[in-house]
Amino acid sequence: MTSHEDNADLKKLLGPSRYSAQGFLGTDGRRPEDIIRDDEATLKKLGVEKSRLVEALRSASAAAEKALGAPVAVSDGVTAESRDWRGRTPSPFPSEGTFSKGETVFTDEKTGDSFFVSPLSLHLIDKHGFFQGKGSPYRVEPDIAARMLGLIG
Amino acid sequence: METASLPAVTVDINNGRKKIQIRPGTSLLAGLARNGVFLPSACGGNARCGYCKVRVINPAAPPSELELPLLSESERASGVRLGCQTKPIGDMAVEIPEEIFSIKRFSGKVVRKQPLTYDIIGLTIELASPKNMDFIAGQYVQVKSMPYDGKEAVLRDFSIASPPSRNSLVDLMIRRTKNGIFTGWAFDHLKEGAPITFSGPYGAFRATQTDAPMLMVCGSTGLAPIWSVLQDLTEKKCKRRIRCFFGTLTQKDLFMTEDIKKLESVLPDFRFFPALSNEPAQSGWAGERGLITDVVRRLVPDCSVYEAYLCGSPGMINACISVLTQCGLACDKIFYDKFA
Repeated sequence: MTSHEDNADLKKLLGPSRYSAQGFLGTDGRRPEDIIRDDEATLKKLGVEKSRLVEALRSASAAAEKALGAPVAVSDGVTAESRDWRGRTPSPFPSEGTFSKGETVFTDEKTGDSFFVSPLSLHLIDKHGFFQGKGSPYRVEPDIAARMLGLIG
Repeated sequence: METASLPAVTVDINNGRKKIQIRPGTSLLAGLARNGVFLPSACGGNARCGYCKVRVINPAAPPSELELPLLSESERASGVRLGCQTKPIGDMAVEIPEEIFSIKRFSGKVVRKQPLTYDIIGLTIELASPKNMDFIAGQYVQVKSMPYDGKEAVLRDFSIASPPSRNSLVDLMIRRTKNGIFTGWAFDHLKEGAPITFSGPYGAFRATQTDAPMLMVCGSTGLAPIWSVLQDLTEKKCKRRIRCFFGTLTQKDLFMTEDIKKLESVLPDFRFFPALSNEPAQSGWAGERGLITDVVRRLVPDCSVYEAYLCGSPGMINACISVLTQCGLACDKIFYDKFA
């Protein structure tokens, strides 16, 4: 989590606030830095670079945004749909700016798996390696995302 | 932190247009608001939203670390700062957009709350103080929610859907946001008869005063400012050619279509095209189908004589700008209100 690793207020920063009704930690009891370390280990085990996963998520989200809400095929049996809402939402970390509200929902029709990516959640993964805590609405399971995006078999 | 023991400092706004006294250490955002000058702000003064920009003429001071990500290179170079982070300790001269002087705080009550679709509600607010709001069709207001379920009050922007002529009642269209603090309040807690406060009007989105044909393209609650403009143009007996495109996914996302369709028999050269991009083929929908950009391109292949008015998601607006310029429309004839 870059410069925030030693911040004692990290949990407070990532909890529910006036900017995020549910916060970013969900029901996960782990420390934020442990969530990051565990997800990093998962990606390493899969042999998938975080930057490659981010690029694939960003590219699929951009394609979905161009379809203006209609589903687009991402890989075999996997679709992405874009949804937009008015306004911007700030990063929980100061000085990181604001991000458009909206999300892309990725759905695997064969397994029923699905997850959501927002411009902010993508930023948190990209900049901090933070995939959010389990139970958070925008938690991305790295292994499921990598599989659904066709990065692993 | 305010410093009560030090003498007040003078803030000169727009080269003498208004001079106010504020306590040293008070942010410009708060100090201006206490003197009836309301900079837009959605984060409560925490350097998160970047809405409360002011240009500091004198004395020059570099922006803080917190401000830097919210300011462009050119803004930094020209002295733009965030009002919430700028705390004068001596006399100061600043510049703000002139229209900010007309922004006021309003209180009223919700006299009507009705579902427009499964995820959009319409609110009508009757103004109590002040009793009227002067605005231009296309502008927006910033509404404050009330605390609920442990959630703090927040501010959100909504375009005005009613016409300027009806200035004691303000219509808004609100779409439920996933996990949204504001929309959770508006949908689940706000009742008819409840008090409500907002500030405004804000924004530069509006119809020009030319005779150029108008191409309007909107999606979802992007219809709100377009509907305000259409009602205003109708009252003014506008004779311009107007082509209005309303793009949604399916029929269940459409709303207000009958009201808008009626304008075809009132305005002399108005046509309305609701278009669905994800409607099941067998649904019986006889209107336009496809991405709104494709529908516009098909029905108005030469846009060169038009002015375009766009309101909706960033994705929709970016796609529209691309199509409209390909169809011959100059960029300076495209006006938009992006949901971001």
